[in-house]
Amino acid sequence: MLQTIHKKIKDILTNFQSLSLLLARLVVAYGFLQPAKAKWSDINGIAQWFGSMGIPFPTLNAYMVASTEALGVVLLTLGLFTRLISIPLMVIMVVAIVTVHLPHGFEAGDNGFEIPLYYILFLFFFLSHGAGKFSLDYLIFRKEQ
Amino acid sequence: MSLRESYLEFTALNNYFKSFSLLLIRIALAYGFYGPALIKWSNIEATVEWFASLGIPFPVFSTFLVASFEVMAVVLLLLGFFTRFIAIPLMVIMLVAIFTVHIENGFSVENNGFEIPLYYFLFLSILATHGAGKYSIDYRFTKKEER
Repeated sequence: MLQTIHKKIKDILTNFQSLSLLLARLVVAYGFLQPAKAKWSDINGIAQWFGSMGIPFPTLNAYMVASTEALGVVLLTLGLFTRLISIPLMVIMVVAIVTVHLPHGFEAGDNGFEIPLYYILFLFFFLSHGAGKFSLDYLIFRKEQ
Repeated sequence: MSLRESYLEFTALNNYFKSFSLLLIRIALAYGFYGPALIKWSNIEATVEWFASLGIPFPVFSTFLVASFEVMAVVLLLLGFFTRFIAIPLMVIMLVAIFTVHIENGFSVENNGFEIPLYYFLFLSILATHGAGKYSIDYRFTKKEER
């Protein structure tokens, strides 16, 4: 009896997998929108800031990070090449943690690494699970999967 | 090998990390609930008063309920035990936290906005729908044919 109920609930919840992936993708895309906009509106300032943190090739890297983040917003929203874009975004988050947030500890209130860590977890989840059914990936590649 | 085939190969490869990503999410959430649970239990009367001031009905009962669920969350999420079932009340708690405390402060965490409870809600919805993955007690109890 209890096992039947358990299985029923499990089956119902499993139907919402793609919805949870869609919501997570939209929120992460929104999360990258602000930093991407801030970087493009003052790209020279960002290059100087990167240089002051000791990041090599600051101008090139400023453009690369700003482009990847902008691309991330679009691709995560559409669910196109979701797994592929997750990797460079994860790298950006790791670099952000190491260069900016680590000395401030964990707490987000103290500008710690809490939020970039959550982003890494979301992105790693997208990398391993894909974008779900509500995505262009599913429309284009589903036959082979 | 065509570009399309390479992409599909890449997709298949990453499927191996599914359970690992779920494990990492579980550990992060368990750690995230540890702080609030500790604060609530260490000064439960102040929490009751705070809940009452927020206009939450039955503040004493609600406080003990929320504090208990948060402690259970730490243990059950770490073990991956009844993961889907603990995720649902925690999602409700996160929604209540968003609507009673955080929503008037906007999105950003800098102003104590609803950013972090929203991320928790999403992580929990992921766990509720996907389960805890292979590295869990739930998986041990799953029948072979359902795996």
